[in-house]
Amino acid sequence: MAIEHHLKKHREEISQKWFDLLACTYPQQTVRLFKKESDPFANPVGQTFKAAIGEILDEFLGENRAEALAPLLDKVIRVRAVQSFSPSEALGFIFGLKKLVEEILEEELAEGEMEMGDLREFEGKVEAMGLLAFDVYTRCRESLFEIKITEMKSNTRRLLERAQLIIGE
Amino acid sequence: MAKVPKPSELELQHVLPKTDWMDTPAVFRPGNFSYPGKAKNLKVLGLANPREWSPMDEDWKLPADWKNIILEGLRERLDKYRTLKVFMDICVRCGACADKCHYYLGSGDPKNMPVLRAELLRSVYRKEFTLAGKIMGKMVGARDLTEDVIKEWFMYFFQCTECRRCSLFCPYGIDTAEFTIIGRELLNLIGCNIDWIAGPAANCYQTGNHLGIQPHAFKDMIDFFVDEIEAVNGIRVEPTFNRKGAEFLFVTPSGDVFADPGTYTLMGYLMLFHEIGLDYTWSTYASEGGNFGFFTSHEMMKRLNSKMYAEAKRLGVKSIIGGECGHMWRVINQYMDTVNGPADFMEVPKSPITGTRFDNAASTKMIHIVEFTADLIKNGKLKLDASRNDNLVMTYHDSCNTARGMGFFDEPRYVLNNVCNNFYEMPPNTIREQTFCCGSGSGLNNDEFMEMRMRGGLPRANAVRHVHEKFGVNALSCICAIDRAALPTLMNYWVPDVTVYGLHELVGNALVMEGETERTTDLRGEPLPGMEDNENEDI
Repeated sequence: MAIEHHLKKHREEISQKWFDLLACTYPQQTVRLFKKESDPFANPVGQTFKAAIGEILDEFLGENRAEALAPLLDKVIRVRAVQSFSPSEALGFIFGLKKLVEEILEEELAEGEMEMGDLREFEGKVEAMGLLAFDVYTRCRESLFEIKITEMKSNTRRLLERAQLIIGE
Repeated sequence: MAKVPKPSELELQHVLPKTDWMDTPAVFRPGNFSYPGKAKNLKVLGLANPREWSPMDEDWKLPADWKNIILEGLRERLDKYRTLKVFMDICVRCGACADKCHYYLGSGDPKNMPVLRAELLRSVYRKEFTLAGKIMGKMVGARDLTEDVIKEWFMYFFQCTECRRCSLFCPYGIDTAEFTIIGRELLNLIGCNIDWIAGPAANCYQTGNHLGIQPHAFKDMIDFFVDEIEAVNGIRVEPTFNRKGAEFLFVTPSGDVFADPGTYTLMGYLMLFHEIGLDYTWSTYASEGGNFGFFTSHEMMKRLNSKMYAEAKRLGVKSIIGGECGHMWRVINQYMDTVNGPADFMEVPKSPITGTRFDNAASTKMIHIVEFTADLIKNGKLKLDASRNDNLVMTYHDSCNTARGMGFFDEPRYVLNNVCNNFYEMPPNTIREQTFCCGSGSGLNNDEFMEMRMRGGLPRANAVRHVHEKFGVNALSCICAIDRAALPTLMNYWVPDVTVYGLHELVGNALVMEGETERTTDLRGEPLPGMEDNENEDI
């Protein structure tokens, strides 16, 4: 598809702008930290996002396999699933990619280097990634509830074990 | 017919409000706060305003003169604690601390920047206690004390783990944890506290430990571990309880007695003491090393700390050995001598095995089990088989309180390197004095606060993931009971292939005991390296 070729040409710009879009869902002071600090341990969220966005994009513009994309999306979504975002806010950045790409390809579209139909097809792929992201988000939240139960069990396991032994005697 | 919205109107705005921090109120929703202290627990502790309430209620049922109580409370503390008075005025807002808080790094919420967390209190101080603030108000960062401010304090002072990483970077040495400590103390004056602190503190005050386990049940649990150890290596250890005239009293967090994986650490203590023939006793009254009073008020900390010393006096021991705990050590190292010391009815701790005198504990008379064990190893008194831990590729998490609170960096690593063959450090800016908190300290390790804890622990987990991916690390060791409870959960969410171990569990695994039968499993009942086949045969 012609559009993939154009998108790969703009890979750096897309990656940068997509990261910006993601970072800008945080308060201003935090955006500065996310963008500026390059040490992954002094800026774990910003650097995780930056690296993951690049990886997601490469897979998405390349083979676009769901099984490869899911763990990459997980890197970003696992963080956002425990932050102060509603599910739609947490995943909004995926759909933001549509508008962002349309803006970047504006010139090429105007010059007829690709068809609008190509763009629509691309947008369909973004939507599919959005659905995959929804699965990933749900898994993260489910694991949060699971570990809550596991923790409660392990906090009292010994007492219960002991109690059962007493009953059994 | 309803108007159909245009596509542009449907667009979601994924941008947080850009209002000034003072104009952004705290919004409580399930998952972002800890449940408030129950009236019955507040009554036990004699704390103010016991009542049923929720942070999500509009009306927090504060006492009628709550404002006066807070301001008088602040005035009293400004007079009492010179550090607080100095910290109120000297911050130049350079921002060095801003991006050092694990809660800020994990949440991105600017009110978790230590400087801003302190401003929550400072802004009220300016308005009420400084001339500039009284006259110029908001222009100089001053604001009125309102119920919304109290709500904001409740949200953010119970979103700080008092880990003090930020204080390390402050050029003026401001300890932001002190703002949290005082902030919580003030909130307690009007009955705003959390039950995960008030409950354990009340239990500890009444029964001797956080869970409120009575003496017979406490002894029963330890007897249970005696059986478990015997099943592992055939040795029957013989702990004693409330024995007068023992040389040492041993005190550890009750989490080690009841919660996995701390229980395995406790087995390690029992085995070590048995092997060296230590003359020691447990107490079923001072059955808690942790001190949740520290997260309530200075007064409550003093009260709970004193029971350990009262029990040491009653039993007539020479000195105390403390188990692997975090804030117990912060209290012992930084506060005990002032609030309850000097413990001059005891002797400076001396190892009966090596003869080493621990002058670092000359006043408190209490030593950390890790320094005691490190000394035993250094003097060649223990026979260790580190290969029993060869299935573990280990890293070490410096617990905030032992690391920053008492400068305890090398002893645990020394022990670790003697009981394990595979050890890798996490990156330098995440360990030793710069260690990242587990995210659950200072009473925040409750299940209703789970997603917040996962945020707070993100920077720590991120560093663990790094060594997991780079060196294949599959085990995380620590010397704090809160860590042992919090880190397994944190790992489950962020780095599921990593298991958490207390240091003395690893010592227990490696310790070659006199007369023991051949071991096929570790203390968890998992096959030792090379014994996997035996395990299968048994099955």
